[in-house]
Amino acid sequence: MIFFKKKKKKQQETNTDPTKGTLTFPELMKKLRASADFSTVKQSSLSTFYISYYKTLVNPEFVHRDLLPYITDIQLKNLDDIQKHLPLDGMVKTNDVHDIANKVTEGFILIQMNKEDPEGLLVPSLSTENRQISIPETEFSVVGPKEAFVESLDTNLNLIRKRLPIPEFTVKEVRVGKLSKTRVAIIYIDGIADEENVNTAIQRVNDIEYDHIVDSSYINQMISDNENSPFPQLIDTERPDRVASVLSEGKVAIMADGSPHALTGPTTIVEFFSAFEDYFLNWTLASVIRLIRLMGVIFSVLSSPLYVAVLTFHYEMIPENLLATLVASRNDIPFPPILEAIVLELSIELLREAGARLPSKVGQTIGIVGGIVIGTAAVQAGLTSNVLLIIVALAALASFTTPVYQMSNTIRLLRFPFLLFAQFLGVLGVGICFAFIVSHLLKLTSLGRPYIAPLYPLRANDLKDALVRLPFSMQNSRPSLLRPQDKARMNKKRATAKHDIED
Amino acid sequence: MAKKKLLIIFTLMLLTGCFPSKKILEDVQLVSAVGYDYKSNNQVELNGMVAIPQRGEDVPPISQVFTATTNTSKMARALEQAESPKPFEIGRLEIALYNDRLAEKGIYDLVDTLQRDPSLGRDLYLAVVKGSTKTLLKEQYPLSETPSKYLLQLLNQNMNANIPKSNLHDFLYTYYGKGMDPNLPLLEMQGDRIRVKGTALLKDDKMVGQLKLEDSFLLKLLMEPFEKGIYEVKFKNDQFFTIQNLSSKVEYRFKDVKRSPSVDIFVKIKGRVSEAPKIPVSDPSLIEQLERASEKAMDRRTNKIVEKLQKLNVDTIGLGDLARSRTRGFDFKRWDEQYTDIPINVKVKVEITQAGITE
Repeated sequence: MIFFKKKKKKQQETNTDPTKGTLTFPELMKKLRASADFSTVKQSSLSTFYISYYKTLVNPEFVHRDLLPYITDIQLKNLDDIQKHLPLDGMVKTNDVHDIANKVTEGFILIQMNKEDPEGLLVPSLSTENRQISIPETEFSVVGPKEAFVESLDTNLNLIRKRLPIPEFTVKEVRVGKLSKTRVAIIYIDGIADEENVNTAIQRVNDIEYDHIVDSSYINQMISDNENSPFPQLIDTERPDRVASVLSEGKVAIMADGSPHALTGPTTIVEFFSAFEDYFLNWTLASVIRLIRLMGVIFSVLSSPLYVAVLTFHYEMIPENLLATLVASRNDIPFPPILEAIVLELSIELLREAGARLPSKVGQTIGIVGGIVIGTAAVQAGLTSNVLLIIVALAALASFTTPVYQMSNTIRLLRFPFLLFAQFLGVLGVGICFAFIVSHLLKLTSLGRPYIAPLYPLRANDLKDALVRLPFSMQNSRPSLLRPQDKARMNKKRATAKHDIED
Repeated sequence: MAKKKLLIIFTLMLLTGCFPSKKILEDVQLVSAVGYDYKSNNQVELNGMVAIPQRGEDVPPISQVFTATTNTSKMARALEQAESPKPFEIGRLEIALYNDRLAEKGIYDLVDTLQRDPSLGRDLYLAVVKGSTKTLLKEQYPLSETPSKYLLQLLNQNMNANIPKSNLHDFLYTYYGKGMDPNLPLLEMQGDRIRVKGTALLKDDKMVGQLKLEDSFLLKLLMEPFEKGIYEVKFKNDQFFTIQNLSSKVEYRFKDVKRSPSVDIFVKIKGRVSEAPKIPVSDPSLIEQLERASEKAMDRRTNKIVEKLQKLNVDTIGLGDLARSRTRGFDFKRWDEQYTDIPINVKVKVEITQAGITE
């Protein structure tokens, strides 16, 4: 193993940044001009200077309206003059070739006095095409805010910051990816979030070694504690309100430019089963719905494995009144229960996958055609029993109740090992598989914090927002798992007091 | 590392034969009821009833009976196997029936095989049948899909109301326990019906006597608290009324257990007059008369039952065990010797709380 590690290190050293190293200014300009969308314009009215930029990155309107009018009719001696006359901020005067290379490729305009002069003024003028802020789709809620993140980091930060208008709201920015140089922001509330969590997040993001980061889900996989685990270790959310809410709990959020999702952590497994809408409903309703969701997950994972186990090994366990129905439905089927179950589970997965890949309108049709036509036809043809069809369809339905999309994918996958164990050892096998999964979960951490807390290690105080959600007046302390610097959320006494008008 | 992995894979491959054998539901013949008939001194006829589900949704299952005669019941099953298209599985057995002649000879050996089978539940019903169990199991009953289902529902329902509760667990408990004797429901086939005749009283594993259905209700009153059942009482010459038991409690008092024991059994019944033709039950003073009358009738009858139990020397109520539980240094031998002569006095107290909704 040590041998492999050494080799990896060597590889890292040889893969140096292409923009670094010895690069002279003429070489850089030559490189830039090789692209068709790079243009250099010579301006010579009163004095001569050169403007170079990528036409595709800079809005030409900006150049003609906000840049040129200020400097064309004036006598200019050097770059300082230009800088003085331009009513813009963020300008940089530099002769560092790398700096110029980086900035120009990001959308800065380079102004030079002489074409071959290595010193230039860099004027920021990035224009990006943004999508309008739209309704959250994967985490839709009936009540509550209907804003979702878009692909621009600045817009996204704006969405969060307007919900937390305090100076403690801190954004640390890092650039990740050798080619993509993606801006990644680590967001937290200073004074609430534990420094260790923040530092872990920053360090993990800094340590990312990859050429391009397209989406935050790349980061999610790269910085998660156990890359091989099927369980997501950071929550992936598209709701700015959810991010604002977990930040105030003391969590850390990570966002990447170009990704409409934020990652929040450290998370616990129970959080994956809580929809943000739970907080918009009365606590009794929210608690019951949360429990129903949890039961749905258990049903979704265990129902078809238990069917296989019971039908293959434990006919004694079948309730008396179900026996005749089960035997009658199984009588004509040529496959053993395990094959029947796997075939049916796989076909449901097929339907789901087809529905997800196809455009939404066609997807619905596929779902109906697949579900109804294939389902009834398979039963009539005697390929599957209708009892199993009901079980599998219900299990698929139950797995959709998980509010976090990644977790519902995990649940989809999880039932297959259970099925195999059920086939080999019956209910005992299901138990063994369950033990494997529980021990895996026990070992799992999220940003170094235990994954199945508050259940284990038991944090009784954190249970107020775990399997059930207790009223807001009882949510007076932040989750102790996150080790928040400021533990108290509010004064409990004042929160519970109800003042009538005469008080 | 690689060696270790190889070793693990190799061991796993060796273990591929170690999986438990499969018993896929539709590939086995589930026996849902068995009946044992007396053939000769050493031979028993075993009848296994299987319900074969039919294709389609509303088609009831067909019941079939496999019969074989041998000395041991396991061997009989092997013989039956020779006729069956699928292997027998006994794990879904709901009920085991014993022919009355067989019950008189003793049924322990036959219950023992059931007891040892790990796939059988302890809530299996046992019952004694007057006449052949084979004909009972072979009959098609219009009341239920299969005989086994009929028997199951019949016993389930009656053990709530009329007859003492009893299943495999209870049988074994009372059989092995000191100071108590088992009882089993007694069934009889009448045309296309099966009827609960009463209770079979067993001494160890042999049937020594029986009680009628009405007496079974009173025996149940003496044995356990329960909330159902109906008893008919004669009021005056040709006036009868029935009392519906709403809740009953039983209390035992033992006196001088070590030397000359005597037992008082107090039964408290809260009841309702469910039917009283020719009696104006809305009259409050009459209610008291009805209470007295039913107390008197039940007292007489229960004392008779206890006498009968003593005469047969069976302790179905489990008085010996109850006495032991409240006496230090209890001597079973002495108790068993004395049991038939112990004065046992039953006192029934009836409280009529209502006479229906017209009141």
